Amino acid sequence: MQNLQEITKDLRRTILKMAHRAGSAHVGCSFSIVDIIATLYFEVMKVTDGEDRDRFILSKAHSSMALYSTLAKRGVIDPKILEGYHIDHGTIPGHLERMSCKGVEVSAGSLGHGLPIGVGMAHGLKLKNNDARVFVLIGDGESEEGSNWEAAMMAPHLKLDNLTVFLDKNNLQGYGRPNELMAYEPIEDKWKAFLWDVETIDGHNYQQIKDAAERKSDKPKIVICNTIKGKGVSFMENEMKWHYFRVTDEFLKNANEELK
Amino acid sequence: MRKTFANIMAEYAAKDKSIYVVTGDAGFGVFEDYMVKFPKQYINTGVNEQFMIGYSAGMSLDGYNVFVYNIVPFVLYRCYEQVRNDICYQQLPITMIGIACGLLNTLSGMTHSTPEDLNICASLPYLEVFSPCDPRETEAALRYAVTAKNPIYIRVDKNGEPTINNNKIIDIKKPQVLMEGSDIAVLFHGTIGEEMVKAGKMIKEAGYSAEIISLPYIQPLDPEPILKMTKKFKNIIVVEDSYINGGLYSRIAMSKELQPKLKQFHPRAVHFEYFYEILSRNSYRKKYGSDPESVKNLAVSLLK
Repeated sequence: MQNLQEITKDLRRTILKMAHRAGSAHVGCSFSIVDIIATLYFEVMKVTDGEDRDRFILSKAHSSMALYSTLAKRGVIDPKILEGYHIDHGTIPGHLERMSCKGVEVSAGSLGHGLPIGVGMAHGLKLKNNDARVFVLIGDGESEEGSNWEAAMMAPHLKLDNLTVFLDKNNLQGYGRPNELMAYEPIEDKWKAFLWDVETIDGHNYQQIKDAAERKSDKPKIVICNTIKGKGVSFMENEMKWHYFRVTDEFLKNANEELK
Repeated sequence: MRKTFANIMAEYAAKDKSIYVVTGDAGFGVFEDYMVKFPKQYINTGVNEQFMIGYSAGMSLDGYNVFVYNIVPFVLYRCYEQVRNDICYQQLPITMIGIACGLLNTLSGMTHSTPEDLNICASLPYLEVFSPCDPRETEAALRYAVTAKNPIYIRVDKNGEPTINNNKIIDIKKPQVLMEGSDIAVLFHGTIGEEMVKAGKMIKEAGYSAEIISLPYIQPLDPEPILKMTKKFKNIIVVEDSYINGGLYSRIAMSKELQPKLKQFHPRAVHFEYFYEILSRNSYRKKYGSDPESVKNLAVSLLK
């Protein structure tokens, strides 16, 4: 395994820099998934320009900085592109637009769109006897969208053993905690009832992420990742405000101290 | 027109494995032969319109030439954001076939009536919109869609419409003259055409000559041929089963080329309201002045 500890520390520093430059939000929700995305891109996925490439769809696309920074670190895009993130006359928007950035498979931003698209993509690949895999990352707040459950009902029917969903369970959504807003739990049992292969892991443990992604199953898989919003910077961890807060000069200095 | 769709899809599916038909629990009596012949090029996703469109986008990203079939509310309304973000924003060449457009289903209630589908289309850049008047125009629109690079919406009626466009259709994106005339023009789109041919005959019986013109390609609107009509005709009656603030007339009114000539256009369209009266399509047309008798009366009053 590559030195993901160092890679993800660097990605977090890049994300802070991007958000600081742009004066944009969504640092906490990018930090909760950066370990998952980095493990996929550096240890699991076939990353090529060809039809044989594995596909990754970031459905909770407000966390786009985690994907953009990983694509740059992995050599898919020029790191200079990141300098135009979310700024006037820039290069890449806050949410994902596939034609603006190489490696972005699907334009996304409104929640609940990625999984239906991922099911179509995975089914198309199977019909073409293409062995590429499809990985979709959704949020726990996003799981409240009905469109996900429409897709959840269809994927096992289509026997999509090439589809893996990672659910970023950081237990914080835009304005509350899922289980305090509704009968969110037991989320594992809900997916099991929809006939998915369900596994729960520590979403910051690289080995567990890799093993879950590589594990073969004859069903579509969902990997429920226990994560911490803002993971990596103590004053951001498990704080709803870091869905929205901007990275000031002082925040940047203090956060970088922790990420040395 | 529904059978036309299935037959044309079968023709292309036989020679092109990328042709893929998606329906969301609709198509009874339409796809029975197709699904048996081409099981790997067909799916019924069930009752889940958001999924149906998202899934179609995923298939399109894999290189499939996707045709989505459903009644209009389930191809544009319930899943509007998927049509916007997943299809149009991503510029995917998916064709959506909306069945039972306009006023066809007024007796079923407002939920199944769709006078606003063109209002919705007007908010979707890159979407090309066809409103064919008969099976032949539908066929031409579909053949165009097979090779088109943009998202496409084709709004059609049901089964059993008569053929009224007997011309050789050279370019489905151009206006189609169904009856030639010299005194006044009646410009329409969609299956109100059958009624407009009747109107043309009634105008003739009243001693005048009306040109009856179908405009199957509505979005983006090409102003040039309509501008030519304004030079030939002092008065053009615009008739449609669509809301007045979202259909063909509103597009004419918003066109910078046509707007200065707006006084020459006389709309007969659906009023901006919901339907609470239990009336058939033809009764609603009478209410809105778009039935043959009313159009004839309007023509005669303009020509007197």
